[in-house]
Amino acid sequence: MICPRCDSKNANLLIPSPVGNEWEMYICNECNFTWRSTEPENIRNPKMYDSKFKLTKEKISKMMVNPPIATSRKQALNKRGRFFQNNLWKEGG
Amino acid sequence: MNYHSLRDFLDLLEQNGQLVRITDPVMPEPDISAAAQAAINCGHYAPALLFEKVKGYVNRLVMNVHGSWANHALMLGLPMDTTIKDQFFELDKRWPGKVIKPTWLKDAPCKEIKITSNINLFEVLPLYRSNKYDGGCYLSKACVITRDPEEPDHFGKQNVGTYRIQVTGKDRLNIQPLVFHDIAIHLRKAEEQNKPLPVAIAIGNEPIITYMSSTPLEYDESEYEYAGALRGEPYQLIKAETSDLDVPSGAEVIIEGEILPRKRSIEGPYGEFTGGYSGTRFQPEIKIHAITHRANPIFENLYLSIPWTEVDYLIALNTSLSVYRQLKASMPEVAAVNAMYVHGTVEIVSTKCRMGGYGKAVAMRLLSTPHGMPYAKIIIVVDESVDPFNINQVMWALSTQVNPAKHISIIHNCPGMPLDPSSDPPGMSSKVIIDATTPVPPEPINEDAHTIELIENTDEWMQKIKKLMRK
Repeated sequence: MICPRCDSKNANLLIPSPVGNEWEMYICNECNFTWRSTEPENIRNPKMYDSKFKLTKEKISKMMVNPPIATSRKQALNKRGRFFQNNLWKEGG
Repeated sequence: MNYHSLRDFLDLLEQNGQLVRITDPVMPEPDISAAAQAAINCGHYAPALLFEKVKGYVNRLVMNVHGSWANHALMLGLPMDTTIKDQFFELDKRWPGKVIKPTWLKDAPCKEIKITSNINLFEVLPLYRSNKYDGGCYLSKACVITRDPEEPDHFGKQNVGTYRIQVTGKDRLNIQPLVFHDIAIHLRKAEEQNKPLPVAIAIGNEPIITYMSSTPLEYDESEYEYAGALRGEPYQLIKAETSDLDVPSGAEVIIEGEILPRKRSIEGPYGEFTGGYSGTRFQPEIKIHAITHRANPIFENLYLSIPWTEVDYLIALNTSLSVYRQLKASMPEVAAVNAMYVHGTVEIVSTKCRMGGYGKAVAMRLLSTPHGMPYAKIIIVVDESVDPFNINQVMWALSTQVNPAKHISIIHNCPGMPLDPSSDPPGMSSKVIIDATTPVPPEPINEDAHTIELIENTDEWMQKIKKLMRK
């Protein structure tokens, strides 16, 4: 199965409809896009998905990380340790 | 208050002709969003919509519960025709001078059914894509509860907030904590310690806590204590199953889980309150560990698009009042604040001017409030005699009091709202202050300009005419 948004082949069935065999929902394991079998073809078909909303590898590589991941305390302490051990504070470093 | 749960409030809406039941089966897409947009278009008396059968799903869905001034008035226990300005000042009366401490229940209907294995969110909630290019199905109206990991016993620092949440699996979600949101502070502290952040997500609540969850309170103020003050009675809470979090006892569904530390995956886009799609970003993941719910739970959710939609009612007067109170604390001349446009992107403040330039000073104070700093972009200041909720009056002030060379100021390189499509880069913006107040000394005054005085008994006459119209 191909993801209509990012064209990854790493997509699969997420769930059948909980009742009534009405639809199936699919998920892309690369870009988290989900879509339903009953949606219009320009949502389901990778060739017809609006190019403005398509995701390419380049677009994904430039995506913002929100919120930024905080520096762990351990890392912050190590950094500070080096700062003092190497006398960087004296050099204004 | 004569309601304690979403179901009580839906009964109240129905008694007042403000709830429409959709009994025919509907398709998740596009019927739900189309109907929600149509309901909003009904104006002051737009009803809530209860979808009794969504194809392929088990449970019901309700939309547009807060989505009209009539429903907003019923939430506050007021007559449905109460004006916006009167609703603002009614809220002002109840906005706590002293908060009311909550109470804890031992049991509540939200614990009727408990799911801790084989979790499948789609079996509980009729999920749907809201706008065509959304990345998936969203929870857009839930109360998200977290605690400060460094001060877990500080009740006020426990946060209840509404954030967009994409469903990215049967038991997995992605959430959007923007860096200025309280939940982002909790997450930062958890990630510094490389620990997961416990989270509870309450869906289908009585309308006051959803309203407070959308209100920009100070970091250590409790949404539950404010909700108690607005309701005039202690707010009823119950403990979550898997953490020490306090959740609203009247909820239809409680999802419990953890935000995974230092992990991000693709989320979005999502059709936002700005009327545009947000970008796609790497955002935090939630792993769901448990769901508790009432029998036959009702999923409550929002439809967002170009304003006005339901979310605009949910963030209109509470945002206005919160900013009003913060301004008033140091500038008592401020008479009212209208921060109803795109969550306060445009804000109108009415004030008496203590001295020349005071209007501009009020605007600068607004730009340093927690909400105004990122959100407010265009600030209009008018005299205290101008009703900031009456756009015709505001336009009159702009038309006649503003000399652009003197009264318009642009401030560059300020914090902005990342979802504002004009912010550049996302999260930074310039600001404009338009001072449309009448000049007072030492600002030079045009000796020939005299505003026509208001006729004293106009209000009396309005009441008389309204009565005659009803006959």
